[in-house]
Amino acid sequence: MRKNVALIALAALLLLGVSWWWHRAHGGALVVYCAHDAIYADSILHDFEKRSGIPVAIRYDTEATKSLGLTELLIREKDAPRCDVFWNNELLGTTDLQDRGILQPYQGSGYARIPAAFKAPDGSWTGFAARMRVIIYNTQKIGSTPPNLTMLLPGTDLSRIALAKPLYGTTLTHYVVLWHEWGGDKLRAWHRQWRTDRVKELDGNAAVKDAVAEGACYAGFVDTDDYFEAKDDGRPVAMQPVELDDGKTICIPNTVAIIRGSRHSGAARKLVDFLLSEETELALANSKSRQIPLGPVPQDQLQADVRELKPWADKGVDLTALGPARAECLAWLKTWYTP
Amino acid sequence: MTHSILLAWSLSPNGSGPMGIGAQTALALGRALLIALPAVLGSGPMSRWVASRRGRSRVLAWMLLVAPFFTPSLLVSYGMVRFAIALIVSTWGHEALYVGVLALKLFPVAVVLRVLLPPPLSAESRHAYRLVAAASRWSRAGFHLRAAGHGPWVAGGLVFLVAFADFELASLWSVKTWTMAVFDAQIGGLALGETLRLAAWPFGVQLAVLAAVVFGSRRGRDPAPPASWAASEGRDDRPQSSSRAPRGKIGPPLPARWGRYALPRTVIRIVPWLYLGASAMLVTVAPLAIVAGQAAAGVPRLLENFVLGHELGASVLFALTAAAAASALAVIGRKFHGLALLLSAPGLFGALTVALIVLALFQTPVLRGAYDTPIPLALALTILLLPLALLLGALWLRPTPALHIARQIPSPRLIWELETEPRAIACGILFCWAYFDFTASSILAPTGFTPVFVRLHNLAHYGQTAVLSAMMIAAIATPVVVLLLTGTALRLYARGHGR
Repeated sequence: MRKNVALIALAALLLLGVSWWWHRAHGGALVVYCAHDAIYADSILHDFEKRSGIPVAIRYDTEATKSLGLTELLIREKDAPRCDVFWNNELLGTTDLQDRGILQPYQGSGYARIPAAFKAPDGSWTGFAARMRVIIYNTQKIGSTPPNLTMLLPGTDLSRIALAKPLYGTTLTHYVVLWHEWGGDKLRAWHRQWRTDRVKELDGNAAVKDAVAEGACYAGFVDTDDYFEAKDDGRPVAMQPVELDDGKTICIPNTVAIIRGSRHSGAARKLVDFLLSEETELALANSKSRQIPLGPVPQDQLQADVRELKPWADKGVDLTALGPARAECLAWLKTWYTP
Repeated sequence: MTHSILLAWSLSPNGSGPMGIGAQTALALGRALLIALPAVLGSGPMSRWVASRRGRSRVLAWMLLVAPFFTPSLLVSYGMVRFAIALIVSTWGHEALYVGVLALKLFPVAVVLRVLLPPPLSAESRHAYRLVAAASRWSRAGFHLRAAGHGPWVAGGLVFLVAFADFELASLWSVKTWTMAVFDAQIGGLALGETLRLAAWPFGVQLAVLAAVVFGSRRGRDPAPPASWAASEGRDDRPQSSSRAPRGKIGPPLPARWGRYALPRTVIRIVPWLYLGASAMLVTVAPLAIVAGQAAAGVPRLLENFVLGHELGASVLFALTAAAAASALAVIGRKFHGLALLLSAPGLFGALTVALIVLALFQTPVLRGAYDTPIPLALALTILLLPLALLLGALWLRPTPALHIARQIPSPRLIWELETEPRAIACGILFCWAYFDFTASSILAPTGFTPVFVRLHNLAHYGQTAVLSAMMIAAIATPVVVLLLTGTALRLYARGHGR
């Protein structure tokens, strides 16, 4: 009996200990929700922590549910926010939060250096360090000529073509752009046709990259950072930016915003300025993900891959006006995937 | 049933239309049946064989048996990622890989339960029945069904429930199943109530199977138990040599016949070893060897910048807390059988369901204060551990005549060996089970206190790298180190106190 009481006491003590430790470690920390890949964001955020002395508690999204999980979480927590700063890896989820009044406008030193096309006029959010939507293809399987995937005829066997589930992340942005360009009916028909033609729908862009890099699939839609992962691994892959009917490309910036009701607004502003600084954009550009700086940076400090991407990025379609398209497209996708 | 499963296949997202939750439930149900039925059939002979082992052969057999069950799904999927990718283009190949690995991981559950719940009639009694019984096939089948006791019901039911509720392996290999649909709905912003309503069909299936297990297990107890059954249940007053004495004694040491087919004795000896070796090799050894091989190059880089310390600490603390809480509740539950069922039932619904319900609870105004703290995850892990805690308690911690005598003498050394040591081992297993959790942790972990497997799960999406493999090895080695240190401390303590 005494042993059982001791066991119960131990469990209670451990729970108290864990809660105490957690509270002590994170009670006063700046809470950051980060949809960007942990392997790239971690070093940036910890660098900020070291320099500013402000402790940061980070919640990452899972790879498979990139960005949507945290966006929805912020909507749920609207009345009692826990997050101070939201670092999103795309734009449209952030504009949705802006429309719902969840973001606190801030125009600091970082905001000033980003071009107007990539920031909210009132400072609710600011974009930085972009990636592009590209077609990745396996050169051993289909040679060096880039395939034009969107022009494939109905009935073509697509079992060797892969794309991520469009419910989340940048694939959702891709769908929203197509919804805006084509209209809902055409996108729905295209989406249905591709499933009929047995396209491989995988969990995330990384899975698409793996499938193409391994040669299981011949081509697929990913982001530039996924492509560079495969290229750096020495895989036989090449890429071509996705071009819309009017020749525009899809350039997706990271976005950062302060959450309305933040308990650490001073620290939050410091982090936002840090993320929007030239130094952070250069760090992300020169990391393995090769993100394209949106603000002015010395060109000679950029690696060649990023410099080559810059002209494509300049042709990027304006994403800021796609809020309504996102809402309609996402509502339809939710009925498709969770009927 | 077959029709609905075929319908589910035809409506898969790779087909032309959306796949409804009903179709996904039917698909998961078909898979769970595919896994549970062979497990029930195979676990009978295997449990008799395992129970009949002695000495080192017994230890090796048990280790090989349970290794696949305790191998983290992340390790399996990460180690086999290239193989899985190669199978992506073949729907059936991909499906076969998933079902195969899940079946190998869950078969040990069925075997352990069959060892724990041996048939009420001995093999000799059944043989005698064969000699004298009527020729009617139906009456023979009915007899064998009753003679098997409630072990097959419970084993089949539990394997079915775990397979049906799988989320982790399904999410790692992009397998379409109802748990993925529910997760998508939840992440996609569907209100929690709506999400749980969406899961009404699968919940219905789980409840029905749980009810069938309870009904079947009660029905299986009906035949008057002969003396051998009583002894195996610990209801016999005759002393046993040790609490770890084989409980499957009632069967013959080695069946010379399996069913109506006489098999050469050599084959009967080799087949179980072949199966155990192959399953442990496929699910545990091969992925571990692949990852360890890659990790060698990544260890120096990982040591230069060790970024996992915080996550490892969080995992260890959560696992310790949940293991201690589940052990304490299991001790209470063992004294009250109704309470035991009540406590273990929620855990059988799977990590995803439990995590969503706990999340819903902590989003209510009453408990909102504890939302985004370590409490929800600790609670969910405890609930998930309870069925295993009760199972281990039933397996190892039953009061036996040997323990009773040891207490009467009193012999600290024997009490240590018969009670404290098995209890510590049970706690260690619970600790590992909680440590390797991913699903509940990914939904309930508080900000800035993420368990290591959530982090690794995210990183694993970037494919195999030397550093990630080194991280994986570090994450797997941590509980081993914790258990070795604890075990050594316990042994030193025991030696110092004359035990």
